[in-house]
Amino acid sequence: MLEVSVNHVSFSYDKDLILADINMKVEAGAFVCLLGQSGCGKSTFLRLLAGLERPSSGDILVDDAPVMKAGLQRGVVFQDYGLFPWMSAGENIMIALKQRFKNMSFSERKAEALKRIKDVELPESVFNKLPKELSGGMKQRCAIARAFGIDPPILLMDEPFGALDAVTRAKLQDLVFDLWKKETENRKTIFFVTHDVDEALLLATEIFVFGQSPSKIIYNYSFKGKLKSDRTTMLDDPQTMQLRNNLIKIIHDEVRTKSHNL
Amino acid sequence: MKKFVMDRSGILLIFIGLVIAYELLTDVFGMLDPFLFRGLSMVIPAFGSHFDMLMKGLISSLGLLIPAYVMATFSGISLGVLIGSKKSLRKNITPFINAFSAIPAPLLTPFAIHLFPSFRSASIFIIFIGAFWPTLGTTVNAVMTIDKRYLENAATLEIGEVEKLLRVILPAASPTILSGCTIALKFSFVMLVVAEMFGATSGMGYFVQYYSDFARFDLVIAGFIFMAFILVGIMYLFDIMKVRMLRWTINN
Ligand SMILES: Nc1ncnc2c1ncn2[C@@H]1O[C@H](COP(=O)(O)OP(=O)(O)O)[C@@H](O)[C@H]1O
Ligand SMILES: [Mg+2]
Repeated sequence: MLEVSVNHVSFSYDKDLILADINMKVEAGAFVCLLGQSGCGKSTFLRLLAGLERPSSGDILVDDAPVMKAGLQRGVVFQDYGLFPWMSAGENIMIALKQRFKNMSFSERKAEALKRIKDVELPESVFNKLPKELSGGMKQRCAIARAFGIDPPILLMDEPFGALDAVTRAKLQDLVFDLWKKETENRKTIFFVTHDVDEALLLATEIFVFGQSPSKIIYNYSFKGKLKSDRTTMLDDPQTMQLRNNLIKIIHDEVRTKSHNL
Repeated sequence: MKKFVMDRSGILLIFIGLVIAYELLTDVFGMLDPFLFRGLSMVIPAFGSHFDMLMKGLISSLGLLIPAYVMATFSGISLGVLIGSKKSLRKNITPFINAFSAIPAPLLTPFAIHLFPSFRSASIFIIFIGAFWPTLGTTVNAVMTIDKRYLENAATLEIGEVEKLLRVILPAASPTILSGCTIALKFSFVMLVVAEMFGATSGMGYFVQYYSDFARFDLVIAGFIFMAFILVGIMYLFDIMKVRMLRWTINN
């Protein structure tokens, strides 16, 4: 059971303070959406969780062990650049499986990669395609296939669908949600960055709203113990709509009062 | 075959244009010094009469060029990756790379002859030097400028050092490295002529040098044209390889 706790984390690039005193405690198996205007430091925060950057002060603990460097414990899905463009989609998945399952033979890895490609509803022929031969949605499906393939307890996703059209995005939201939900025990803890309130409402079990930089957490909402509406019922559910309006207002107010920072 | 020629009709037309222009300037109107610039009426027969010698020269030149170029590529890329990926090495070694690559390799000839046991090895060394520095320099640069996100991606997947080198760093740097290899290949051709100026008894560079001493400029020009064709041929093969290796970068 992996619990993530973030204690008094601050971070600066050179002299610019980007994150100021971030605190959160997240239970294993949560679907955490990190919401905020662009430029507020969501990606930076995710990079800290990934271990690609170290906090300037404070610490990030996963089950009481501080995050020291990037690794397979925390899988990452980037908005782009996730796949190596010189490898086929299949090779991209296989090279990840190879690091994760050292004892798997080549043919086992290949079979597993093919299975993962099918799990994300792509045809087998995608295995041999280069990333540039795939659409944006297909590339993200492959990145998801790889991320779930290495089966990390924690998965970090940085606006993974930000560059996709609305229909593709909706399909991929459902895909990720289903893959996450399917695992009844040892469900992954997902940190999902987005600037889209509706995306957060749809996916999250926990929502954290980041303020304008230097960023703090200005709002936190948990769906724990509450009934959650899905894509079709969301718009008719007064509670969800109230939360939605509330979130939008919080973000807008924050942007308005701190707009001198932009 | 027909398509191959059709695709290159532009090249063919320019080539024909150049040949005609040269023929007009020499044989027809005699506008260039006829002693240095021999017309095609003399150059073409020179090909015929010395074809065996040119072919023999080609083989002996390749015997110098191939080992020198292969060694330069191999050592230039290996050292370049090492230096490029270690900041401390890069910082301390770059000034020396700049200094050494500025020395015109022909000036090293006397040193090479002195240091190496045979003319052949000295010649290989001279060509090696010509190809080594551009390969090293571009590889260091290529590795240094790799998009950081690829390395971060590798870090999140815990890809090991050796695999990272072979499957992430080298491919990511390969577009720049390969353009360095192209420059190095052209350089090594230039150095071939220098390297064959001493000790060689055959070779394309030797051929040009030898007949220029006898002022047989019909043969010198024939030799130049022959070398140019060989270089174009080699570059063509090189390009095929490059396109295959860089398929992932080329937009449809
Ligand atoms: N490598 C960097 N060096 C300096 N500043 C950076 C760097 N990356 C991001 N920033 C700055 O940090 C702030 C937060 O950026 P980011 O985390 O990407 O925001 P978000 O993901 O919320 O859009 C921005 O003001 C950005 O300009
Ligand atoms: Mg971002």
